[in-house]
Amino acid sequence: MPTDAARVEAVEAVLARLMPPALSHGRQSDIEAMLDGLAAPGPVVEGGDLANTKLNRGFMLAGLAAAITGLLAVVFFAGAPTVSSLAFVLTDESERVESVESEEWQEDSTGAVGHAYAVSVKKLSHYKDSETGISIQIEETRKETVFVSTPISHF
Amino acid sequence: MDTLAQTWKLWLAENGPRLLLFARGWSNNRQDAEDLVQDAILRMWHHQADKGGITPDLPLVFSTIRFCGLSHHRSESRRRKREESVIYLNDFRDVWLDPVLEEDEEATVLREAVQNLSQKLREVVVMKFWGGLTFLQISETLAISPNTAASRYRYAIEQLSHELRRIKEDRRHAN
Repeated sequence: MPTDAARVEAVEAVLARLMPPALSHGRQSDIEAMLDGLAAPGPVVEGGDLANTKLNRGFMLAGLAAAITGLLAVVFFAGAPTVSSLAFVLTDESERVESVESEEWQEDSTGAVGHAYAVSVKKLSHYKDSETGISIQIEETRKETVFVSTPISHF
Repeated sequence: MDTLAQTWKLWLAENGPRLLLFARGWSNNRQDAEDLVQDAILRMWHHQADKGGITPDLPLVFSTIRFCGLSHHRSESRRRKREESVIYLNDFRDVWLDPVLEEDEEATVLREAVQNLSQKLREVVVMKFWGGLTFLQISETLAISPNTAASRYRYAIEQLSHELRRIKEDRRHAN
């Protein structure tokens, strides 16, 4: 009777004889062209000498306060931060699935049967004011139910 | 800038197949899986911009593909259901893994067995075996404990081992 370790080795030996296929040539080219486009230098935004006077610094701070207030309002009431036109510029945005829990098979409103997943997603948005260098990070966690109506068993 | 793009292209050439394999678990066909990979790479590019544009760690990319896959299911599930039947009929040789050797019955059967594993088990096997991730990295990607990741891997291997035994018994009876 083979041991557990021997069984694992036997399976892994067979799995080692399976290789994932490469991306299709067309898709590989598409992605490479996309990377070239992303790496190309973008337009340079000139900031001017806004921070040279006390008055302008005052405006800048007022703008900063307005930006934060606006940002919070957008985050809490609209759920879609778009404050690029204010002092803060969105520099990075990412979403990450924090957890996925099966809610077993369910029926949706159309009568289709599928697998429901409770998904917790954390969205991180980084904003930076180029004049002051102040950065802020907004964290939003939301919970969604994803309904996969097609069983993933046909390939 | 050209160097940066070149670095990412090399990274893509090295990791594209394993990303595609993982994406297959979150899509119904190869084209959708390639869409997920491309979407994830675009997101990763922007995400890595603050880090000097270095190529991302694989666990983060797997996690992003998973997120993109979930989003895709959420918005496109009904459309994909209609398309799936067409793609399935016309794309019968569309497989996730290619045997290295010709006429390798064991590998072919295990390929089917891997595809038929439950999603929870399959993604751990894919990340561990073809992604080369540690159980700790897998646990971070899936937001589960390392022990759970290891248990899922063991359980998946047991199921695959069962399939392997069945093949050998069938052969013995045939002889």
